[in-house]
Amino acid sequence: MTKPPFSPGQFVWCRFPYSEAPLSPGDKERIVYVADIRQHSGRRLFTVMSLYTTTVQWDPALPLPLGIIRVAGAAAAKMNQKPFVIDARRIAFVPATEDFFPRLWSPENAVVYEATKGFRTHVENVLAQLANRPDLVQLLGPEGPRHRR
Amino acid sequence: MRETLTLRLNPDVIKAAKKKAQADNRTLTNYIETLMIRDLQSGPSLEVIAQPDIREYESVPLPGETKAERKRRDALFHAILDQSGH
Repeated sequence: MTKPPFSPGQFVWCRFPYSEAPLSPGDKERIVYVADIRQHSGRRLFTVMSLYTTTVQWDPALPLPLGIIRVAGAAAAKMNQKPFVIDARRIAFVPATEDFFPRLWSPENAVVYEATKGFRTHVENVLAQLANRPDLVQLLGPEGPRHRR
Repeated sequence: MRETLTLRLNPDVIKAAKKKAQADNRTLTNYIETLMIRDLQSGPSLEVIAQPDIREYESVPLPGETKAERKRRDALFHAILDQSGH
């Protein structure tokens, strides 16, 4: 494979591994959020920085814990999914192989949705907070660098 | 008022947990509750599954990405690995 199969900001089908068996694909496909894609310089192998998603419902009266990112109903509907959340606290660097991404060779089936640039920046900011690196947080909205005069 | 909760657990885990609780001179219930409270009170934790040589993977250039954006992406990648102990 010479070209990366996915891009950051995409939601793709993946057999996300369990922490107790990190080298094996999980038993079922689930949608993950692609936060980054990297390549081993020597082995030309791609790895996909994948964030876990779950349909577990959070009490709307309670603030979401840091790392939990709600995927709005409209976006979820476009993916033919019930509303769900990204759990940015669970990350796996998943080899871009057919074992982990069974739809790898038909990206039109593997990629279910592409997030906006704003959403992508929001996810990156959450990751920066989780990594305890506030210096890496980017301003969003009218205060953001692109909107400054 | 305390609530009753029924759990289905691996018998080996139960056996080991009972031993640990006994060594701590406490009940199994107290042992499990203490572990739960400790976990709930701890801040957000990161669980990162990665290959041992993950830091040898370089960022793939993205269309339209500036040098500064790529540098920030790399910094975030290393920060996540640092925070998770990789």
